[in-house]
Amino acid sequence: MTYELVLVLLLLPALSWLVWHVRRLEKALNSLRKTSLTVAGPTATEARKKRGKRYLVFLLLQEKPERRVEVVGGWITDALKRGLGELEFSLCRPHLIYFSPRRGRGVLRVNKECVAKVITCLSLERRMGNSKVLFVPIRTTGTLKRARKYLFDRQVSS
Amino acid sequence: MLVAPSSEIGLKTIASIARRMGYRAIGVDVDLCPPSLLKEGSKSAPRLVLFPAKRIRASSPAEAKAALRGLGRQVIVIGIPENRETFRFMSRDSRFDFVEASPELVSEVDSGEAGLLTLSGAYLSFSLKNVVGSYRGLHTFGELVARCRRLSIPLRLYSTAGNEFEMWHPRQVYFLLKLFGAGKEVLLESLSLPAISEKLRRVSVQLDL
Repeated sequence: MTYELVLVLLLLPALSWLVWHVRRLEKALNSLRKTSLTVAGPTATEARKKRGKRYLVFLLLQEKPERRVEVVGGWITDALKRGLGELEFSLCRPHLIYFSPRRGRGVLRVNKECVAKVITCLSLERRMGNSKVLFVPIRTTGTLKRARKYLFDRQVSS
Repeated sequence: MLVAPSSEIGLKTIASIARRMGYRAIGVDVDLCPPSLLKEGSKSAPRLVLFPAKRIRASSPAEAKAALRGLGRQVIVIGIPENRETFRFMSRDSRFDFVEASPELVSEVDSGEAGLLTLSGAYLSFSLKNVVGSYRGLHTFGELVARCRRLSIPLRLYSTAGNEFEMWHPRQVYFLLKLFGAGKEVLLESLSLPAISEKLRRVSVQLDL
């Protein structure tokens, strides 16, 4: 009995030190987890700013009007890849939202940092296959709703 | 904007599209389109001013002087030099309203050239036809813009369009210059013709437009 009591009394401090040490480690791990989450991920504001898009309303004058939307989309993609290169093209992420073959007007969505480059690249391309084309930028808007207003405006000046 | 259509129908199409694009005045090359057609062309776009422009290509100062003889003050004169000597002559001569820098002569645009243009009151110009379909042309255009910025040379751009598919919308020119680092004042000035507007008014009145 005495021997067991002595053993317990001797082991108690060691056990309490062990428990205290484990709790300290746990606290340190939790704070590290919180810090690494803050550094690795963007805040909601940063994520919203990064997603900034611009909607480019354009008119496409064609010598031989092309009725198929996918051909026009393919021409835009090829022209941008030639002008910007594959890397810049993937950063700009252009996407043809709408194109009317009858009116020759459409809406192209691009990253907001790439508007000038996209307009310049498409302005330099004057051929689609065997026919001549002219890409006329009408307006650049931040929302699709505002872009729709300019789709049917007769005037193409800024 | 300067255009060079070869027919009346071409001029009418260009004039109507130019008006929709927001241009208030365009120059028409009289070698390809005689002045008599300007009146017909102006009917398709009533609020657009069409003024005659003469492009003089010369490989020597003597050739340029001979071309200027008998020209009078009825046209806007654009000089297209083919070598350095003619480039300097045209920049010095006040009869030239614009001196067009070809891609080969971009390296000749220096402080001396800037001084000559300031004295004569002419503008340095560049045809955007050199840029379309040629990345080398784009490279020389970028070099020209950088030199003009550094030396404060007024630069004017035009399309020299032969048909409606060779025209440039003002926004296209704006973004092209912006991409090459031109400042806001240069961007707006390159799209307008403030200093020769007096001559334009005189020329367009004489044509009864």
